[in-house]
Amino acid sequence: MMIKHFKIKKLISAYQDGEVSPKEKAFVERHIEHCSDCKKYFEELQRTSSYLKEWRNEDVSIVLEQKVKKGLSENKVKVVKARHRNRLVPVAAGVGALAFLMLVVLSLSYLTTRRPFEVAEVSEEEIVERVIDFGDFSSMHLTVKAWDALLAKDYKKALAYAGECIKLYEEEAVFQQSQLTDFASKVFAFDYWALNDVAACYFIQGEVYREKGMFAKAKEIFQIIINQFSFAQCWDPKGWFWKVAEGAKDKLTTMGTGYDFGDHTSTTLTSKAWGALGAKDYYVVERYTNKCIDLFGKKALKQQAGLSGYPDTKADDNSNDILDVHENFWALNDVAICHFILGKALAEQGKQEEAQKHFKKIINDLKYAQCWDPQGWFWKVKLGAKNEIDRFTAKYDFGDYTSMTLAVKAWQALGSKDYPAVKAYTAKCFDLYRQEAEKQQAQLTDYASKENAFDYGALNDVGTCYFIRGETYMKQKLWDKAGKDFQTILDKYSYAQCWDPKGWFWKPVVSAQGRLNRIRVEKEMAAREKDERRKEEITIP
Amino acid sequence: MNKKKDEELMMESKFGNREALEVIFHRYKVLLFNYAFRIIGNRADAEDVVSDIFLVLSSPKTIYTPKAKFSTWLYTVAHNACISRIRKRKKLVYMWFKRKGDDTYTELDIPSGQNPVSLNTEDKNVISQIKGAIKKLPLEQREAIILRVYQNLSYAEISEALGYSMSKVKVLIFRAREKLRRELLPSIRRI
Repeated sequence: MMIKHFKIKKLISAYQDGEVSPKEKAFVERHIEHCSDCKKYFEELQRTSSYLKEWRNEDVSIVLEQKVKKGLSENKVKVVKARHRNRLVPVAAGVGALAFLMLVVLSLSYLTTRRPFEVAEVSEEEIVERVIDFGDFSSMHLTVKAWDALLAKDYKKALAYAGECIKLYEEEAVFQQSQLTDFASKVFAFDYWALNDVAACYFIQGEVYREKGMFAKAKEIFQIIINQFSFAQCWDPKGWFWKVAEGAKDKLTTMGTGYDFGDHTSTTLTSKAWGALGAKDYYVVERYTNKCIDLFGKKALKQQAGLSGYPDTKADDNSNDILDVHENFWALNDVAICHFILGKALAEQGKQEEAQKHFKKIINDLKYAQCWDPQGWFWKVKLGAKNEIDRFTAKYDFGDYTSMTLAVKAWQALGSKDYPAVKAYTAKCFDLYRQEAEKQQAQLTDYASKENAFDYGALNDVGTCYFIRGETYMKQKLWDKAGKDFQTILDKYSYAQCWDPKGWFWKPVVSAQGRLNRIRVEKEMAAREKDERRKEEITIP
Repeated sequence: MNKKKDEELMMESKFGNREALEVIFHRYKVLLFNYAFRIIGNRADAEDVVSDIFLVLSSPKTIYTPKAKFSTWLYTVAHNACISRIRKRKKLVYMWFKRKGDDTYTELDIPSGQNPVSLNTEDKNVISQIKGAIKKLPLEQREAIILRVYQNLSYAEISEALGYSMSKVKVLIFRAREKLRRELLPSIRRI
């Protein structure tokens, strides 16, 4: 039954197209009359066919017409050459006698009206075109060829391909740009092919001039992209469009500065950042890493959110799995590595606090990132970050890590004027006990009694640590930083108390208030001195 | 020139008459472009295919014998041009971006067909549903159904253009129709 119905349905499909014999036609019509299922099927097919017709034919663009006409006229040379070689082709082709006569007449009339060697008419432009193969003249072909030539540093060819694409499609590109008020969505982006390819070609030209050191010319070209083709986008196979005008802006800002974002991929930025770190060029490290984090930070967080552990890379895995880790988690891996590189650069400059922020970012937000070591394994960026933090903190002995130990050590460091040590001990104390201290402060409405004061150890020690750090800043005359720490005591840890070995508690908040007053005086004095100095400078001449 | 048959024009073009090819282009440009656009699903590539077809026609290596109907022969050229464009596209993407093992690309995105500015949302939805359904068909079925529904070719002409037997064409069209019916029926019922 099933087979029979399948055959009938096939017949119904052919019947709908009028592709059945009279016998089959009669059969189908009779069957449809009696079989409700097949009748329904027939009607559905008809409705589907008319629904399909809703997708109507479109007109072709003017650009296509121009392109084909140009293609035909350029092929003229080949046709003429062929005619000389194959003058008797029609005979060989075995065309009928009448057609043959007609064609001979036509060919003779054609030959007599033109000089036999039209190859001499080939223009200089055509000679160039024959040396440089412009392929099918499609914008995509020209752009791809131009990119390839640029990568191969064949600047002449790159300029020729890009120039040809611009010449042919700039008008259409300008039109397409005028149709847009914002970047086209991913779905529609390919509709703006001329805009995208022409802008890419300008970009390539700009790159050629930039690489040749002709900065003025390059700047001019990048400016054209920014002004005229601001909505152009270039497809990246990793799954997004990059904005050509943004690339042009980057090129303008980096030109002549000694650094260059290359193709703006995370891989390029990361490897350039590694290189700059090796050369201890910290300014450049920051530029590369920040660019990578800016561009791919969000994507990295998304990739991290999809993971509940490290992606599989077992010892016996084949190279495909390694590729998968590269392919699927590239943003996560590269952004984490950029944070790592940036952290290292900052640490090497002695900016430990800022460095720690980046290492902590890896540990907290990008914990499953991995970095492929060319020697053949993945290392876990998070572990690298932990090592870096430990290396920084290992200089100082935090003892049993209690808040009291840390506060005592901070006092001692202050006494011996070891200010970096003060910073390390107090920072550790804040990290470990800040939250607890705030909780304890919230539980109090007044100072804890002498008996209970030790129950609020975290509050007391964190408050004290702020005071100690404030003192360190005072000694270095960093009034603003010191003021900030003392103000924190007033705002957040006002009930903190500190046990003095001489036998009493003193209140950091009271001392902090005193220090704040002193800071104000110091600042006023400094301002007055400055003022007087200026007045003297004015009166002396 | 405009009154001449396609076959005559094609023969004239073989003797270097560029105008003959231009007339052919004007006769077939819309049909060829839309055929390629529906097969490949990408406007830029479809335009390239049309341009490829006319490069082929103007090439001295191309031999046309007026045994077959010209339009049928032209669809054979178009069919070949579409296939080589799809292959070329894959190769170009590979060359450009130097990616290994990337087989995911077939047609990148299918952008809106008709001028996005002139269509209302409902039309866009209908067209994108049809496009989506056609895109899901295997290439052979897609070609056969497009030649039948949109180019109005008979089964015999389709068989000649694609180089398949008549019975294969019949089955391809039936299967394509069956899939499209299943895919589009819910939307048709809603209308």
